[in-house]
Amino acid sequence: MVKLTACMVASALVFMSGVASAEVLNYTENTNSNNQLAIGYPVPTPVDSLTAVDGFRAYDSLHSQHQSLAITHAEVRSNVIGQTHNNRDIYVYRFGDSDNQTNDGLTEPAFLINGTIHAREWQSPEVVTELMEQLTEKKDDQSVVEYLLDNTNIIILPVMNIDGFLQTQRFPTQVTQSPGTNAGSTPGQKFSQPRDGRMRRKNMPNVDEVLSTEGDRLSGVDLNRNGTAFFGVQPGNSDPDSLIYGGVSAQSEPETQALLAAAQLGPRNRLRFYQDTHSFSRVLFVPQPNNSRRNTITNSLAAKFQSTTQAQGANYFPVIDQVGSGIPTTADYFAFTDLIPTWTLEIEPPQGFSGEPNGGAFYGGTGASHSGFIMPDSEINRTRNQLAPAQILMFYHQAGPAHVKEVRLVDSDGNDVYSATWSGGTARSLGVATNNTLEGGESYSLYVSFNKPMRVRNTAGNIAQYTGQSVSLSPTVTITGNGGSGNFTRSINVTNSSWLNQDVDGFTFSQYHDDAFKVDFTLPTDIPVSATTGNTDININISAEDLAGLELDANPATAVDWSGGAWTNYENSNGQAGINGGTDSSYNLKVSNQNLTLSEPQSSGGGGGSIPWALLVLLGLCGLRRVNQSSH
Amino acid sequence: MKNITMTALYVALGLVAIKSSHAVERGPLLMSEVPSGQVYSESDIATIKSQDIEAHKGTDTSSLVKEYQLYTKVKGMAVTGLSDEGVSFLNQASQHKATAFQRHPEGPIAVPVFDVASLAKHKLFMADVYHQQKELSPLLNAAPASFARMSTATPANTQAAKLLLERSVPKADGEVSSALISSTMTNLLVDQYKHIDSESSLVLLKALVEATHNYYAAEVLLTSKQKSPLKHQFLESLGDYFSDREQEVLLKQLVANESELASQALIKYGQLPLSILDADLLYTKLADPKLGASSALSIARLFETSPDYARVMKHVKAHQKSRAATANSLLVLKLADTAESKAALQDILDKGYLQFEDMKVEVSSWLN
Repeated sequence: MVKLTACMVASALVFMSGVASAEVLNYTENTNSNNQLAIGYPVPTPVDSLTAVDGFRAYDSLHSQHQSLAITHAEVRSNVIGQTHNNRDIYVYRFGDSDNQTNDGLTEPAFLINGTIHAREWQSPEVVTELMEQLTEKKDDQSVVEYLLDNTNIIILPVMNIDGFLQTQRFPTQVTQSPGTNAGSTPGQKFSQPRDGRMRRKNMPNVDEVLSTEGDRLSGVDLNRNGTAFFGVQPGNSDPDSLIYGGVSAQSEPETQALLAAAQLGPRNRLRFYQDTHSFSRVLFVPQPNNSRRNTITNSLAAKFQSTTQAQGANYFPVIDQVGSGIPTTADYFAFTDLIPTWTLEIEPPQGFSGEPNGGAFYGGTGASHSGFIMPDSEINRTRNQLAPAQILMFYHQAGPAHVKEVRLVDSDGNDVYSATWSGGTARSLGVATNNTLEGGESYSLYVSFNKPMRVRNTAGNIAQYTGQSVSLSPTVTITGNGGSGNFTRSINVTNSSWLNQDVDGFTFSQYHDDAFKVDFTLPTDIPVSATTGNTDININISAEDLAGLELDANPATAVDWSGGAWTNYENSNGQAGINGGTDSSYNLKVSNQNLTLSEPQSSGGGGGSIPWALLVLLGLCGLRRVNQSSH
Repeated sequence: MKNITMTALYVALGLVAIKSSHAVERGPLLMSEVPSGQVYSESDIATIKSQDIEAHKGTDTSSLVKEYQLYTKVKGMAVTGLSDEGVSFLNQASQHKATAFQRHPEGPIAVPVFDVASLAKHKLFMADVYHQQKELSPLLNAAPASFARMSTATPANTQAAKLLLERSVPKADGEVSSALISSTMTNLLVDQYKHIDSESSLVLLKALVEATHNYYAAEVLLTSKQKSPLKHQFLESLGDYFSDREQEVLLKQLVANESELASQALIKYGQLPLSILDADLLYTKLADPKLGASSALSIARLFETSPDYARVMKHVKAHQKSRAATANSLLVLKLADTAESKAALQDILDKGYLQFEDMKVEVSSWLN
């Protein structure tokens, strides 16, 4: 506060000393003049409200709301991670339980969301705050959000460039004229590159808060050009007057250092996703370091983000960078340094899309230069709500693929026939508590649970796709084996309605709604065996996509993690680790041959190979019957 | 001639509306897709803009210059008294496809330098607005019901009526000053807009309040069931139109209604003079799970002129079992951010007034 006052006094002194003043210009709804520019809709001004409104909240309200979330909810903790140039505390908020361990006892993965790095991009703090609000509003959903809070560490820095953001809110309709122009310039010239007031982008080192001060209005560092990766590669990066000035050295700015401190809360080596939240353009700028596995995962993730927004009427298009190239943005920095999925989210309005008006014209405005930074206040509520589910899906995806936790087989009397549970941390073992012999033709209930919620439901309570996704809603279960008469495969019919969000016949979900399914089936008798005595070993094979489309970790014995730009210990059906999962075939049971089908031994063969042999047996039996009948 | 022009204008607006309703679902134009001759740097653009537009005439021009010339021509067109040719020109310009691009500062997409088409569409819209002003003007005092109905019929009509009510536009022929609207007429209009209750009617209610400071209009606007940013923007400027007493009544009503304006109203309420506001209301609301934090901000701001840490301490002690009341009382002290408020927080920790472990952790982090 003392520093601020001093700053204001200094500003006033400078102002009174006769230093040249910049011309102050105004944005209006419909009036054009020498110093006014119409954008075609009401120019929003900040609203003092903690709860979200149809509009943009003042910084003081946003900050109070963030602090309120932190003190009200045990799942939210605040940290001061630095101070701005003007000595304002920069806060970060951590969402999750306090143990930093997943339910499986592993160290939690972390995600970092950064907001308001560029002061004039008012969409950013609103979208990020909405995400924070939804994470608390849905904390007891027994579904995706509760899972995330239990098993991940979500770090959100809602307003990084506080000084700059406050400057834009101090002058919500005003700017100073473009560099190189003067009072005699045309309005088009004066408004073409506004740099201070509502259109400030950079931070505020040695910049007063008086809009008309000519001497400092171009000053400041572009905090999204202050990273070590590609530092200084753009022509403007070394020009202090440039909009994209990168500072005297990489990470020189206190705000940038605060972002690094925020990443340390992950901790840094647990980061698996980073998003820098900007406006405008309605795209994702997706960096591509020289790591093909990381890029494949990231680009797939970006496509899922896009489809989530498309399903809600927007289209956040992923723009994939050239491999190995970049600029000194924070998204490039984390992509190239940490090899994690990252992007720059540019919130709407769109820009550069064929057939769609650019910037403010998207909302029926004049399309005036820079109007895309001034989203109409009637649009932000929709935008907030469209983006929150997409971001939550990213967390869910990057929390890691699902694995089977428990498999139970119960007979019609309610007795466990088979019961197995995975336990342990990074190296798990399958504890088989019960493994009795199954009988062909008998009815059983198969119960399988996973470590994460696998499905969501619509308002009618039915299993549904997560917004915009397209995954196979039903898991697949097969029984395979070889009873001496060749390999066989039999399918168990599992449907959408097999997922559990409540108790069904004594079976229910494990920790989260729809993290388990139960299916009743009759063990087929047409399983081919070479003898009617003894037992045959069978496997239960389980495959399912999680709600983001990730396949199961086919080998739960080795816990999946993230390293070097990709999943580790993520096995496919063949047991090979990579970036795709597969079918988990870890469950070995035995079935009595007694009721199974005697079949001619074969060296090998697929499912259904027993049918011709069964037909022969049947024909043989028919033949015997005729002989018996004729003998009477 | 005029009728032909207006018909042409309507056709043009219709075409524009049809074109605008078909968004294309493809990605943005990439830098790699644009011919190199159509991509310009910041300095290219600045140079062109700094030069006299006349200097480029008749010379072999680049796409940037051509676009700049077209943009300047559209921008310079007056929307009053548009000729058929003017409408035709704007209609053609509204279909213009950009041919001059610059690189997006954050990534490899090509961004048009000028948006000629959108500016032309807006010019056509504003031409319609000015035309509608003339239609509406005679109705304002003579036939308020007709005025209300017509003023909410189309966006252009609403804009025209708004400009009439605000008196903030260059005078058009026959314009009626809003100062001439009697309070009886104003109330009749308010009743009409209350009945219509649409986004358009809110626009005009707001314009009426701004023009006449009519309390009834403000009440109808703020208590409308329509959710609209206008209500929030208007609430921010309530003090420009009404006395502290009048504001107090309105704000209390909004808080009691628990509408989408409640948080904002509570904060505004806390900004009323101490002689008017009832601090008990703010303290009572601290226990409210939805509005408690807003109340906390309000009280914290009151502390800038009239701190009462003892009362907050007392509140914490008295509501130790309520998570909301405790959290929001602590929030008051956090947001007050003074040496005294920090001492009070330390005191609360030291004396064991906090029963919730997570809050102890959070408050401790505030004090470190």
